[in-house]
Amino acid sequence: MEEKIIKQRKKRYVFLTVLLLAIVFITIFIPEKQNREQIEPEELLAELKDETRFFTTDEIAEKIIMEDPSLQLIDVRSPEEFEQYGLPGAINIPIENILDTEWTESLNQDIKTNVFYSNGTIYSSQAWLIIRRLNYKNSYVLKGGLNEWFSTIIMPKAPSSVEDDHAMDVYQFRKGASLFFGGAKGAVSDDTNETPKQVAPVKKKANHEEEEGGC
Amino acid sequence: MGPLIKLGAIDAGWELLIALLIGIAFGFVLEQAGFSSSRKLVGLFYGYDFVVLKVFFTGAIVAAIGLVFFNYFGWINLDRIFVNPTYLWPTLVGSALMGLGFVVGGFCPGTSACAAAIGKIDAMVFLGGIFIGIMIFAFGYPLFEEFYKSGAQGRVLVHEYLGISRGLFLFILTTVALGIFWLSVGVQRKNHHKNLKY
Repeated sequence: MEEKIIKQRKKRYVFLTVLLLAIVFITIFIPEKQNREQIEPEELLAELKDETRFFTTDEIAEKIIMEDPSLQLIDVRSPEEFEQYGLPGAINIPIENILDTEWTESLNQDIKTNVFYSNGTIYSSQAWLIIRRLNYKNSYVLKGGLNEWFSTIIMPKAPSSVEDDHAMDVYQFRKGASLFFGGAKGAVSDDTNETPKQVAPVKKKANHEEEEGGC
Repeated sequence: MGPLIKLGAIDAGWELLIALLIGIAFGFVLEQAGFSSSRKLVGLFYGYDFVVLKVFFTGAIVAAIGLVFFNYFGWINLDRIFVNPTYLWPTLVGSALMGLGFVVGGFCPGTSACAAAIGKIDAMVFLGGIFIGIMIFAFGYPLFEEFYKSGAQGRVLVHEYLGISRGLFLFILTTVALGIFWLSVGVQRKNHHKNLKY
C-alpha cells in the first residue's frame, strides 16, 4: 500500500519536473524587448501628475544664496529675454535648441540638479517633459517661474496678522533674499504691513550674472 | 501595465496597506507550510528535510518564469522594477552571518515572526536578538559604513553579467534547481529520522 503511494507520488514529481522544464524551455525563445531607453508614457504621466518635479522659489533662492554647487539653473526662454533678466548662475538653453548636441552633456548627467525655468511654468515644463522623455535624470522645474520669483523673492508680500509664525519666518527669509538679489527697498522695512511698491533695479544685476552663468 | 505603483495604476499611498496584506498572507502561508518549526527549518543544514529549499527555490523559479512571460505579454516592464544594487563583499559576509544565525537560532527572520505569533518563546527571544542586532548596526553605522558600501556594482543582473539571454539563464537555473530537488530526495531518505516530531 505504502509503496503504491510512493510510486504515485514519484509519478507526479516526474510529471511536474517535465512540465516545468517544458515551460522554462519556451522562455529561451522569448525575444528580449529592446529599446527601453526612453521612459514609458504611463510613467511619464505619473511623474507629470506628481508635484515632486517642482522646486519652489524659496528653495531655489536658498540654494543660490548658499552657493549650492549642485544647482544648475536653465533658462529656456529666448536669448533676448535672458539678456534682460536671468537668475544668477543660470545658463540659457532656448527650448527650440534643447535637443542640440551642444547641451547633451549638461542635460544628461547624474551630478547636478537641473532646474528649468521660464516666465511661467509652461515652457519650463515642456522642456522638462522632453528631457524626461529622454530619460535624463535630475531634472526639475521652478514652480511658478520668474513671475513667481518676482512676487515672492524680489518683492515679497508681508503675511497678514492672522497667519502663523511659519508664514512670518518665510517672509523674513524672503526679505533677506530680496536684499541679496537686489530687490525692492520697500521689502527691507521691518514694518510688516507695508507692501513694497518699488520695482527692483534688477536689470543691471542680470548682465553681471550672465557672465557667471556661462561656465 | 506594471509595476502598478510606479506607473501610477495604484496610488502610492496604498503601498503600506498592500505590503501589510501581502505580509499577512505570506506569514499565514509560512505557518501553514510548517515553517514556524525550527526542526523543519534547520533540517536543511542537517540534511533530513529539504522542504525549505524546495519551497523557496520553487517560489523563485515560478516567479521568474512568470515575470519573463508577463514581460513578453507587456503586462509588466521588467526594466522598471526595482533591483537591489549589488555590494559584493558586504553581501557575502552578510549572507554568511545570516546562514550562521539561521542554523544557530533555528529561524530565519520571517519565520521567527511567524513562530513568535503562534507563541513560541524561543522565536520571541530570536526576535529580541534581531532588534539588538539592528540597534548595534544602527548605532555603530559609522564603524561599518566603509565596508557596508564597498564593492558597489549598481544594478547587476546575472544573465547580463554572463552575457547570455534572460531565457537561457532561467532555463539553466531551473534545471539546476530541479537537479537539486531530485538529489535532495536521496539525501533526505538517507538521513531520515522516523520518529522526528515537528
